Amino acid sequence: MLQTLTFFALAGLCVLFALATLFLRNMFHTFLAFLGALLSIAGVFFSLQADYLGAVQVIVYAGSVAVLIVLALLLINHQSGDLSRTNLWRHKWLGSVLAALAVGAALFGVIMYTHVTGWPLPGETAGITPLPYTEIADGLLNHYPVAFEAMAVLLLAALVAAVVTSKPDDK
Amino acid sequence: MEFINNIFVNIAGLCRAVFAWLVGLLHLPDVLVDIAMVAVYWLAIVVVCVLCALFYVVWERKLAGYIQRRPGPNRLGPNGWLQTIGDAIKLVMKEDIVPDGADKPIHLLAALLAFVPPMLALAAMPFGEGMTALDLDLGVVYIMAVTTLASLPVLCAGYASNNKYAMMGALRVVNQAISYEVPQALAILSVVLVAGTFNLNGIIDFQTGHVWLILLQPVAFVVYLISALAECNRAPFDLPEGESELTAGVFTEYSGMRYALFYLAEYCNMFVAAGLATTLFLGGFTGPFLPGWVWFLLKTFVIMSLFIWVRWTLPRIRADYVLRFCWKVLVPLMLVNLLVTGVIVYILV
Repeated sequence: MLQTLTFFALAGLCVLFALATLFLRNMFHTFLAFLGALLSIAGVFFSLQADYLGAVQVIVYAGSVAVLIVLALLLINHQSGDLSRTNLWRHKWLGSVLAALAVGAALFGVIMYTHVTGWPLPGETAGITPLPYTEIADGLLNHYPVAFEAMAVLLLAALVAAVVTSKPDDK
Repeated sequence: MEFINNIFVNIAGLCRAVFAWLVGLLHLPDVLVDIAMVAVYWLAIVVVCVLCALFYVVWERKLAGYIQRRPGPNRLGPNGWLQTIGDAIKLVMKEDIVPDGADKPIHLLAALLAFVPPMLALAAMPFGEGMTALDLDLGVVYIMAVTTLASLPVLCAGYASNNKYAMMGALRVVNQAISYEVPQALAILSVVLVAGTFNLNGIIDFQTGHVWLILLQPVAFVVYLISALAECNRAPFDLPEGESELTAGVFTEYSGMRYALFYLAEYCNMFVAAGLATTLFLGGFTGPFLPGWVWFLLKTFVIMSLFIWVRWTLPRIRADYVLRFCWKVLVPLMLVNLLVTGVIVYILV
Protein backbone atom coordinates (compact mmCIF):
# COMPACT_ATOMS: atom_id res chain seq x y z
CA MET A 1 0.00 0.00 0.00
CA LEU A 2 2.63 2.48 1.16
CA GLN A 3 4.98 1.28 -1.57
CA THR A 4 2.38 1.75 -4.28
CA LEU A 5 1.67 5.26 -3.02
CA THR A 6 5.40 6.10 -2.99
CA PHE A 7 5.77 4.72 -6.48
CA PHE A 8 2.96 6.76 -7.94
CA ALA A 9 4.12 9.91 -6.13
CA LEU A 10 7.66 9.50 -7.48
CA ALA A 11 6.47 8.46 -10.95
CA GLY A 12 4.16 11.47 -11.14
CA LEU A 13 7.00 13.73 -10.06
CA CYS A 14 9.24 12.18 -12.68
CA VAL A 15 6.70 12.73 -15.47
CA LEU A 16 6.17 16.33 -14.34
CA PHE A 17 9.89 17.01 -14.38
CA ALA A 18 10.25 15.32 -17.77
CA LEU A 19 7.48 17.49 -19.22
CA ALA A 20 9.14 20.56 -17.70
CA THR A 21 12.39 19.50 -19.35
CA LEU A 22 10.60 19.54 -22.69
CA PHE A 23 8.56 22.70 -22.35
CA LEU A 24 10.71 25.14 -20.37
CA ARG A 25 12.46 27.68 -22.56
CA ASN A 26 15.45 28.61 -20.40
CA MET A 27 18.37 26.22 -20.73
CA PHE A 28 19.30 26.16 -17.07
CA HIS A 29 15.70 25.60 -15.98
CA THR A 30 15.54 22.69 -18.41
CA PHE A 31 18.68 21.29 -16.83
CA LEU A 32 17.22 21.54 -13.33
CA ALA A 33 14.02 19.81 -14.44
CA PHE A 34 16.07 17.07 -16.11
CA LEU A 35 18.01 16.65 -12.87
CA GLY A 36 14.75 16.39 -10.94
CA ALA A 37 13.56 13.64 -13.30
CA LEU A 38 16.82 11.69 -12.82
CA LEU A 39 16.64 12.04 -9.04
CA SER A 40 13.01 10.91 -8.90
CA ILE A 41 14.00 7.81 -10.89
CA ALA A 42 16.69 7.19 -8.25
CA GLY A 43 13.92 7.55 -5.69
CA VAL A 44 11.89 4.87 -7.51
CA PHE A 45 14.92 2.55 -7.36
CA PHE A 46 15.31 3.18 -3.63
CA SER A 47 11.62 2.54 -3.00
CA LEU A 48 11.96 -0.79 -4.83
CA GLN A 49 14.86 -1.62 -2.46
CA ALA A 50 17.35 -1.57 -5.33
CA ASP A 51 19.75 0.53 -3.24
CA TYR A 52 22.78 -0.09 -5.42
CA LEU A 53 21.02 0.97 -8.59
CA GLY A 54 19.63 4.04 -6.84
CA ALA A 55 23.06 5.11 -5.59
CA VAL A 56 24.59 4.55 -9.02
CA GLN A 57 21.78 6.58 -10.60
CA VAL A 58 22.61 9.47 -8.27
CA ILE A 59 26.40 9.25 -8.68
CA VAL A 60 26.56 8.69 -12.43
CA TYR A 61 23.54 10.49 -13.82
CA ALA A 62 22.60 13.24 -11.37
CA GLY A 63 26.12 13.81 -10.09
CA SER A 64 28.22 13.55 -13.20
CA VAL A 65 26.42 13.23 -16.53
CA ALA A 66 23.90 16.00 -15.89
CA VAL A 67 26.58 18.30 -14.55
CA LEU A 68 28.83 17.63 -17.54
CA ILE A 69 25.95 18.40 -19.89
CA VAL A 70 25.21 21.72 -18.24
CA LEU A 71 28.90 22.56 -18.12
CA ALA A 72 29.16 22.01 -21.87
CA LEU A 73 26.00 24.02 -22.49
CA LEU A 74 27.15 26.94 -20.37
CA LEU A 75 30.58 26.98 -21.98
CA ILE A 76 29.07 26.95 -25.48
CA ASN A 77 26.23 29.37 -24.99
CA HIS A 78 26.70 31.21 -21.75
CA GLN A 79 23.41 32.28 -20.11
CA SER A 80 21.57 33.46 -23.22
CA GLY A 81 20.34 29.91 -23.51
CA ASP A 82 16.94 30.36 -25.12
CA LEU A 83 16.21 26.89 -26.41
CA SER A 84 13.74 28.10 -29.05
CA ARG A 85 16.73 29.63 -30.88
CA THR A 86 19.36 26.98 -30.30
CA ASN A 87 17.24 23.91 -31.01
CA LEU A 88 18.34 22.65 -34.44
CA TRP A 89 15.28 20.43 -34.84
CA ARG A 90 12.77 23.23 -34.40
CA HIS A 91 11.63 23.35 -38.04
CA LYS A 92 11.96 19.66 -38.82
CA TRP A 93 8.72 18.72 -37.11
CA LEU A 94 7.99 15.63 -39.24
CA GLY A 95 11.31 14.00 -38.26
CA SER A 96 10.77 14.98 -34.63
CA VAL A 97 7.31 13.42 -34.53
CA LEU A 98 8.59 10.23 -36.17
CA ALA A 99 11.51 9.99 -33.74
CA ALA A 100 9.19 10.56 -30.77
CA LEU A 101 6.81 7.85 -32.06
CA ALA A 102 9.69 5.40 -32.54
CA VAL A 103 11.03 5.96 -29.02
CA GLY A 104 7.52 5.76 -27.60
CA ALA A 105 6.87 2.47 -29.39
CA ALA A 106 10.16 1.03 -28.14
CA LEU A 107 9.35 2.03 -24.55
CA PHE A 108 5.83 0.63 -24.85
CA GLY A 109 7.31 -2.64 -26.12
CA VAL A 110 9.69 -2.83 -23.15
CA ILE A 111 6.86 -2.17 -20.69
CA MET A 112 4.67 -4.82 -22.35
CA TYR A 113 7.59 -7.25 -22.26
CA THR A 114 7.51 -7.20 -18.44
CA HIS A 115 4.20 -9.08 -18.70
CA VAL A 116 5.94 -11.84 -20.65
CA THR A 117 8.85 -12.12 -18.20
CA GLY A 118 6.57 -11.97 -15.17
CA TRP A 119 8.79 -9.47 -13.40
CA PRO A 120 7.11 -8.08 -10.29
CA LEU A 121 5.55 -4.66 -10.70
CA PRO A 122 5.58 -1.95 -8.01
CA GLY A 123 3.27 -3.04 -5.23
CA GLU A 124 3.85 -6.74 -5.90
CA THR A 125 7.40 -6.71 -4.53
CA ALA A 126 6.39 -7.06 -0.87
CA GLY A 127 7.65 -10.60 -0.27
CA ILE A 128 10.74 -10.37 -2.47
CA THR A 129 14.14 -9.89 -0.86
CA PRO A 130 16.36 -7.53 -2.81
CA LEU A 131 19.40 -8.89 -4.62
CA PRO A 132 22.52 -8.28 -2.51
CA TYR A 133 25.15 -6.18 -4.27
CA THR A 134 27.66 -9.04 -4.04
CA GLU A 135 25.41 -10.92 -6.48
CA ILE A 136 25.61 -8.00 -8.90
CA ALA A 137 29.42 -8.04 -8.73
CA ASP A 138 29.47 -11.81 -9.13
CA GLY A 139 27.17 -11.64 -12.13
CA LEU A 140 29.15 -8.90 -13.85
CA LEU A 141 32.61 -10.35 -13.33
CA ASN A 142 32.00 -14.12 -13.29
CA HIS A 143 28.95 -14.79 -15.45
CA TYR A 144 28.99 -11.98 -18.01
CA PRO A 145 32.65 -10.88 -18.24
CA VAL A 146 32.52 -10.49 -22.03
CA ALA A 147 29.60 -8.07 -21.93
CA PHE A 148 31.29 -6.19 -19.10
CA GLU A 149 34.57 -5.89 -21.01
CA ALA A 150 32.75 -4.94 -24.22
CA MET A 151 31.13 -2.10 -22.30
CA ALA A 152 34.56 -0.97 -21.07
CA VAL A 153 35.93 -1.02 -24.64
CA LEU A 154 32.92 0.98 -25.84
CA LEU A 155 33.53 3.63 -23.18
CA LEU A 156 37.21 3.77 -24.08
CA ALA A 157 36.32 4.20 -27.76
CA ALA A 158 33.96 7.04 -26.82
CA LEU A 159 36.72 8.68 -24.78
CA VAL A 160 39.22 8.43 -27.65
CA ALA A 161 36.60 9.73 -30.08
CA ALA A 162 35.96 12.71 -27.80
CA VAL A 163 39.65 13.52 -27.67
CA VAL A 164 40.01 13.20 -31.46
CA THR A 165 36.95 15.31 -32.29
CA SER A 166 37.80 18.05 -29.81
CA LYS A 167 41.42 18.30 -31.00
CA PRO A 168 41.97 21.45 -33.06
CA ASP A 169 42.93 20.91 -36.71
CA ASP A 170 46.68 21.37 -37.03
CA LYS A 171 46.83 22.02 -40.73
CA MET B 1 29.04 4.98 31.96
CA GLU B 2 26.85 2.58 30.04
CA PHE B 3 24.01 5.05 30.50
CA ILE B 4 25.93 7.97 29.04
CA ASN B 5 27.12 5.79 26.16
CA ASN B 6 23.54 4.93 25.24
CA ILE B 7 21.92 8.22 26.19
CA PHE B 8 20.85 9.16 22.64
CA VAL B 9 19.73 5.61 21.84
CA ASN B 10 17.59 5.71 25.00
CA ILE B 11 16.10 9.07 24.05
CA ALA B 12 15.20 7.69 20.61
CA GLY B 13 13.64 4.62 22.28
CA LEU B 14 11.64 6.87 24.59
CA CYS B 15 10.38 8.93 21.63
CA ARG B 16 9.33 5.76 19.83
CA ALA B 17 7.50 4.49 22.94
CA VAL B 18 5.65 7.80 23.32
CA PHE B 19 4.64 7.81 19.64
CA ALA B 20 3.51 4.17 19.85
CA TRP B 21 1.41 5.03 22.91
CA LEU B 22 -0.16 8.04 21.14
CA VAL B 23 -0.88 6.03 17.99
CA GLY B 24 -2.46 3.27 20.09
CA LEU B 25 -4.53 5.83 21.99
CA LEU B 26 -5.89 7.43 18.81
CA HIS B 27 -6.26 4.15 16.81
CA LEU B 28 -4.05 5.33 13.97
CA PRO B 29 -2.08 3.09 11.58
CA ASP B 30 1.32 1.91 12.91
CA VAL B 31 3.15 3.41 9.94
CA LEU B 32 2.77 6.80 11.61
CA VAL B 33 5.21 5.77 14.35
CA ASP B 34 7.94 5.18 11.74
CA ILE B 35 7.12 8.45 9.98
CA ALA B 36 7.28 10.33 13.29
CA MET B 37 10.63 8.70 14.09
CA VAL B 38 11.96 9.83 10.70
CA ALA B 39 10.97 13.36 11.70
CA VAL B 40 12.80 12.97 15.03
CA TYR B 41 15.99 11.69 13.35
CA TRP B 42 15.76 14.49 10.81
CA LEU B 43 15.44 17.07 13.57
CA ALA B 44 18.42 15.58 15.39
CA ILE B 45 20.51 15.75 12.20
CA VAL B 46 19.52 19.37 11.59
CA VAL B 47 20.53 20.25 15.16
CA VAL B 48 23.88 18.43 14.79
CA CYS B 49 24.49 20.17 11.44
CA VAL B 50 23.79 23.66 12.77
CA LEU B 51 25.65 23.22 16.07
CA CYS B 52 28.73 21.86 14.29
CA ALA B 53 28.71 24.68 11.80
CA LEU B 54 28.34 27.30 14.54
CA PHE B 55 31.13 25.77 16.60
CA TYR B 56 33.58 25.23 13.77
CA VAL B 57 33.16 28.74 12.36
CA VAL B 58 34.34 30.25 15.63
CA TRP B 59 36.96 27.52 16.17
CA GLU B 60 38.41 28.25 12.73
CA ARG B 61 38.73 31.93 13.57
CA LYS B 62 40.30 31.14 16.94
CA LEU B 63 42.79 28.67 15.49
CA ALA B 64 43.62 31.05 12.63
CA GLY B 65 44.33 33.63 15.32
CA TYR B 66 46.71 31.30 17.17
CA ILE B 67 48.45 30.37 13.90
CA GLN B 68 48.93 34.02 12.95
CA ARG B 69 49.90 35.09 16.51
CA ARG B 70 46.90 37.37 17.07
CA PRO B 71 44.06 36.98 19.60
CA GLY B 72 41.23 36.19 17.15
CA PRO B 73 37.65 36.92 18.21
CA ASN B 74 37.65 37.65 21.96
CA ARG B 75 34.81 40.08 22.65
CA LEU B 76 31.45 38.34 22.58
CA GLY B 77 30.79 35.85 25.37
CA PRO B 78 33.47 34.03 27.36
CA ASN B 79 36.73 34.58 25.46
CA GLY B 80 34.83 35.27 22.23
CA TRP B 81 33.18 31.86 21.93
CA LEU B 82 29.76 33.33 21.15
CA GLN B 83 31.06 35.28 18.15
CA THR B 84 29.30 33.12 15.52
CA ILE B 85 25.92 33.61 17.15
CA GLY B 86 26.45 37.36 16.97
CA ASP B 87 27.53 37.06 13.34
CA ALA B 88 24.51 34.93 12.51
CA ILE B 89 22.13 37.46 14.08
CA LYS B 90 23.86 40.25 12.17
CA LEU B 91 23.52 38.36 8.88
CA VAL B 92 19.83 37.60 9.48
CA MET B 93 19.09 41.25 10.14
CA LYS B 94 20.95 42.49 7.07
CA GLU B 95 19.13 43.46 3.90
CA ASP B 96 18.65 40.52 1.55
CA ILE B 97 19.94 41.86 -1.75
CA VAL B 98 18.95 40.10 -4.97
CA PRO B 99 20.49 41.54 -8.15
CA ASP B 100 18.11 42.90 -10.76
CA GLY B 101 19.15 40.58 -13.58
CA ALA B 102 19.29 37.52 -11.39
CA ASP B 103 17.20 34.40 -11.94
CA LYS B 104 15.29 35.07 -8.72
CA PRO B 105 13.67 31.68 -7.95
CA ILE B 106 16.92 29.81 -8.57
CA HIS B 107 18.91 32.40 -6.62
CA LEU B 108 16.75 31.53 -3.60
CA LEU B 109 16.57 27.80 -4.33
CA ALA B 110 20.37 27.49 -4.44
CA ALA B 111 20.74 28.89 -0.91
CA LEU B 112 17.97 26.65 0.42
CA LEU B 113 19.34 23.49 -1.22
CA ALA B 114 22.90 24.03 0.01
CA PHE B 115 22.11 22.26 3.29
CA VAL B 116 20.42 19.21 1.74
CA PRO B 117 23.44 17.09 0.65
CA PRO B 118 25.30 17.25 3.99
CA MET B 119 22.08 16.48 5.87
CA LEU B 120 21.38 13.48 3.65
CA ALA B 121 24.94 12.27 4.19
CA LEU B 122 24.76 12.66 7.98
CA ALA B 123 21.68 10.39 7.98
CA ALA B 124 23.97 7.42 7.30
CA MET B 125 26.83 8.52 9.56
CA PRO B 126 27.51 6.28 12.58
CA PHE B 127 27.78 8.81 15.41
CA GLY B 128 28.02 6.10 18.06
CA GLU B 129 27.00 2.59 18.91
CA GLY B 130 23.50 2.10 17.48
CA MET B 131 23.39 5.78 16.56
CA THR B 132 23.02 5.45 12.78
CA ALA B 133 19.73 6.88 11.58
CA LEU B 134 19.95 4.93 8.33
CA ASP B 135 22.13 1.82 8.62
CA LEU B 136 22.47 0.88 4.95
CA ASP B 137 24.38 -2.10 3.58
CA LEU B 138 25.76 0.28 1.00
CA GLY B 139 26.39 3.15 3.43
CA VAL B 140 29.69 4.15 1.82
CA VAL B 141 28.20 4.26 -1.68
CA TYR B 142 25.19 6.21 -0.37
CA ILE B 143 27.36 8.88 1.27
CA MET B 144 29.49 9.15 -1.88
CA ALA B 145 26.32 9.54 -3.96
CA VAL B 146 24.77 12.31 -1.88
CA THR B 147 28.02 14.24 -1.43
CA THR B 148 28.31 14.30 -5.23
CA LEU B 149 25.24 16.51 -5.22
CA ALA B 150 26.93 19.15 -3.05
CA SER B 151 28.29 20.99 -6.10
CA LEU B 152 24.85 21.46 -7.65
CA PRO B 153 23.53 24.24 -5.36
CA VAL B 154 26.77 26.11 -5.94
CA LEU B 155 26.36 25.69 -9.70
CA CYS B 156 22.81 27.04 -9.41
CA ALA B 157 24.09 29.98 -7.38
CA GLY B 158 26.71 30.77 -9.99
CA TYR B 159 24.22 30.68 -12.82
CA ALA B 160 21.41 32.53 -11.04
CA SER B 161 23.61 35.43 -9.93
CA ASN B 162 23.99 36.66 -13.52
CA ASN B 163 27.53 37.75 -12.80
CA LYS B 164 30.66 36.72 -14.65
CA TYR B 165 32.69 36.16 -11.49
CA ALA B 166 29.98 33.96 -10.04
CA MET B 167 29.78 32.03 -13.30
CA MET B 168 33.54 31.46 -13.40
CA GLY B 169 33.47 30.35 -9.77
CA ALA B 170 30.62 27.92 -10.44
CA LEU B 171 32.44 26.37 -13.40
CA ARG B 172 35.52 25.94 -11.22
CA VAL B 173 33.47 24.29 -8.46
CA VAL B 174 32.10 21.74 -10.87
CA ASN B 175 35.46 21.07 -12.52
CA GLN B 176 37.08 20.53 -9.18
CA ALA B 177 34.29 18.45 -7.67
CA ILE B 178 34.04 16.08 -10.63
CA SER B 179 37.82 15.65 -10.90
CA TYR B 180 38.53 15.04 -7.22
CA GLU B 181 35.65 12.61 -6.91
CA VAL B 182 37.75 10.08 -8.82
CA PRO B 183 40.74 9.81 -6.45
CA GLN B 184 38.40 10.07 -3.48
CA ALA B 185 36.28 7.17 -4.73
CA LEU B 186 39.42 5.12 -5.41
CA ALA B 187 40.75 5.84 -1.89
CA ILE B 188 37.45 4.76 -0.35
CA LEU B 189 37.44 1.68 -2.57
CA SER B 190 40.88 0.65 -1.23
CA VAL B 191 39.45 0.79 2.30
CA VAL B 192 36.39 -1.19 1.27
CA LEU B 193 38.62 -3.79 -0.37
CA VAL B 194 40.53 -4.32 2.89
CA ALA B 195 37.47 -4.29 5.15
CA GLY B 196 35.40 -6.39 2.74
CA THR B 197 32.16 -4.48 3.29
CA PHE B 198 30.34 -1.32 2.19
CA ASN B 199 28.54 -1.00 5.51
CA LEU B 200 29.99 1.77 7.68
CA ASN B 201 29.35 -0.11 10.90
CA GLY B 202 30.94 -3.19 9.29
CA ILE B 203 34.07 -1.17 8.50
CA ILE B 204 34.20 0.00 12.13
CA ASP B 205 33.80 -3.60 13.32
CA PHE B 206 36.69 -4.63 11.08
CA GLN B 207 38.87 -1.94 12.63
CA THR B 208 37.95 -3.01 16.18
CA GLY B 209 38.88 -6.57 15.28
CA HIS B 210 42.15 -5.69 13.54
CA VAL B 211 43.84 -2.28 13.45
CA TRP B 212 42.78 1.18 12.35
CA LEU B 213 42.74 1.33 8.57
CA ILE B 214 44.99 4.41 8.59
CA LEU B 215 47.84 1.97 9.37
CA LEU B 216 46.92 -0.36 6.50
CA GLN B 217 46.04 2.38 3.99
CA PRO B 218 48.14 5.46 4.85
CA VAL B 219 48.36 6.61 1.20
CA ALA B 220 44.62 6.34 0.76
CA PHE B 221 44.13 8.37 3.94
CA VAL B 222 46.29 11.24 2.71
CA VAL B 223 44.69 11.20 -0.75
CA TYR B 224 41.23 11.11 0.83
CA LEU B 225 42.02 14.18 2.93
CA ILE B 226 43.38 16.10 -0.09
CA SER B 227 40.32 15.20 -2.17
CA ALA B 228 38.01 16.15 0.68
CA LEU B 229 39.65 19.57 0.88
CA ALA B 230 39.15 20.04 -2.86
CA GLU B 231 35.53 18.85 -2.74
CA CYS B 232 34.69 21.22 0.08
CA ASN B 233 36.40 24.05 -1.85
CA ARG B 234 38.73 24.73 1.05
CA ALA B 235 42.14 26.40 0.79
CA PRO B 236 44.53 25.60 -0.87
CA PHE B 237 41.78 24.59 -3.32
CA ASP B 238 39.41 27.53 -2.69
CA LEU B 239 39.61 28.78 -6.28
CA PRO B 240 35.80 29.02 -6.66
CA GLU B 241 35.83 31.97 -4.28
CA GLY B 242 39.39 33.13 -4.83
CA GLU B 243 39.00 36.75 -3.77
CA SER B 244 42.19 37.88 -5.49
CA GLU B 245 40.82 37.05 -8.94
CA LEU B 246 37.04 36.50 -8.66
CA THR B 247 35.92 39.03 -5.97
CA ALA B 248 34.07 36.40 -3.95
CA GLY B 249 33.50 33.89 -6.73
CA VAL B 250 30.19 32.08 -6.58
CA PHE B 251 29.02 34.05 -3.56
CA THR B 252 29.64 37.52 -5.03
CA GLU B 253 25.93 38.31 -5.34
CA TYR B 254 24.88 36.71 -2.08
CA SER B 255 24.37 38.67 1.09
CA GLY B 256 22.62 38.47 4.43
CA MET B 257 20.84 35.24 5.32
CA ARG B 258 21.45 33.57 1.96
CA TYR B 259 25.19 34.04 2.27
CA ALA B 260 25.05 32.70 5.84
CA LEU B 261 23.34 29.53 4.59
CA PHE B 262 26.13 28.87 2.10
CA TYR B 263 28.74 29.65 4.70
CA LEU B 264 27.25 27.22 7.22
CA ALA B 265 26.73 24.55 4.54
CA GLU B 266 30.46 24.70 3.77
CA TYR B 267 31.24 23.75 7.36
CA CYS B 268 28.60 21.02 7.32
CA ASN B 269 30.21 19.57 4.19
CA MET B 270 33.56 19.62 5.94
CA PHE B 271 32.03 17.91 8.97
CA VAL B 272 30.67 15.15 6.72
CA ALA B 273 34.09 14.69 5.10
CA ALA B 274 35.79 14.60 8.51
CA GLY B 275 33.18 12.18 9.87
CA LEU B 276 33.68 9.85 6.92
CA ALA B 277 37.48 10.00 7.40
CA THR B 278 36.99 9.15 11.07
CA THR B 279 34.74 6.21 10.25
CA LEU B 280 36.84 4.82 7.40
CA PHE B 281 40.36 5.34 8.73
CA LEU B 282 40.34 6.15 12.45
CA GLY B 283 38.13 3.43 13.89
CA GLY B 284 34.95 5.52 14.00
CA PHE B 285 33.28 5.84 17.39
CA THR B 286 35.37 3.17 19.13
CA GLY B 287 37.83 4.03 21.89
CA PRO B 288 38.52 3.38 25.56
CA PHE B 289 37.06 5.09 28.67
CA LEU B 290 34.88 7.71 26.96
CA PRO B 291 31.42 7.13 25.40
CA GLY B 292 31.36 6.32 21.68
CA TRP B 293 29.79 9.56 20.47
CA VAL B 294 32.40 11.57 22.41
CA TRP B 295 35.14 9.64 20.60
CA PHE B 296 33.46 10.33 17.26
CA LEU B 297 33.28 14.05 18.00
CA LEU B 298 36.89 14.11 19.24
CA LYS B 299 38.26 12.38 16.15
CA THR B 300 36.27 14.58 13.76
CA PHE B 301 37.50 17.58 15.77
CA VAL B 302 41.11 16.54 15.12
CA ILE B 303 40.48 16.14 11.36
CA MET B 304 38.59 19.44 11.17
CA SER B 305 41.45 21.18 12.95
CA LEU B 306 43.81 19.62 10.39
CA PHE B 307 41.67 21.10 7.59
CA ILE B 308 41.82 24.51 9.26
CA TRP B 309 45.57 24.20 9.87
CA VAL B 310 46.13 23.45 6.16
CA ARG B 311 44.00 26.42 5.15
CA TRP B 312 46.00 28.91 7.18
CA THR B 313 49.35 27.43 6.19
CA LEU B 314 49.28 26.88 2.43
CA PRO B 315 48.71 29.51 -0.29
CA ARG B 316 46.08 29.05 -2.99
CA ILE B 317 47.06 26.93 -6.00
CA ARG B 318 46.55 28.05 -9.60
CA ALA B 319 43.45 26.65 -11.33
CA ASP B 320 45.19 24.47 -13.92
CA TYR B 321 47.64 23.08 -11.34
CA VAL B 322 44.71 21.95 -9.20
CA LEU B 323 43.32 19.76 -11.99
CA ARG B 324 46.75 18.65 -13.19
CA PHE B 325 47.66 17.49 -9.69
CA CYS B 326 44.43 15.49 -9.53
CA TRP B 327 44.64 13.71 -12.88
CA LYS B 328 48.39 13.29 -13.20
CA VAL B 329 49.37 12.52 -9.60
CA LEU B 330 46.47 11.46 -7.40
CA VAL B 331 44.54 9.27 -9.86
CA PRO B 332 47.55 7.17 -11.01
CA LEU B 333 48.75 6.94 -7.40
CA MET B 334 45.38 5.64 -6.22
CA LEU B 335 45.12 3.20 -9.13
CA VAL B 336 48.50 1.71 -8.16
CA ASN B 337 47.42 1.68 -4.52
CA LEU B 338 44.22 -0.13 -5.46
CA LEU B 339 46.12 -2.68 -7.53
CA VAL B 340 48.64 -3.40 -4.76
CA THR B 341 45.86 -3.63 -2.17
CA GLY B 342 43.90 -5.98 -4.41
CA VAL B 343 46.89 -8.28 -4.95
CA ILE B 344 47.73 -8.40 -1.22
CA VAL B 345 44.12 -9.02 -0.23
CA TYR B 346 43.88 -11.75 -2.90
CA ILE B 347 47.03 -13.48 -1.57
CA LEU B 348 46.13 -13.21 2.11
CA VAL B 349 42.41 -13.98 2.03
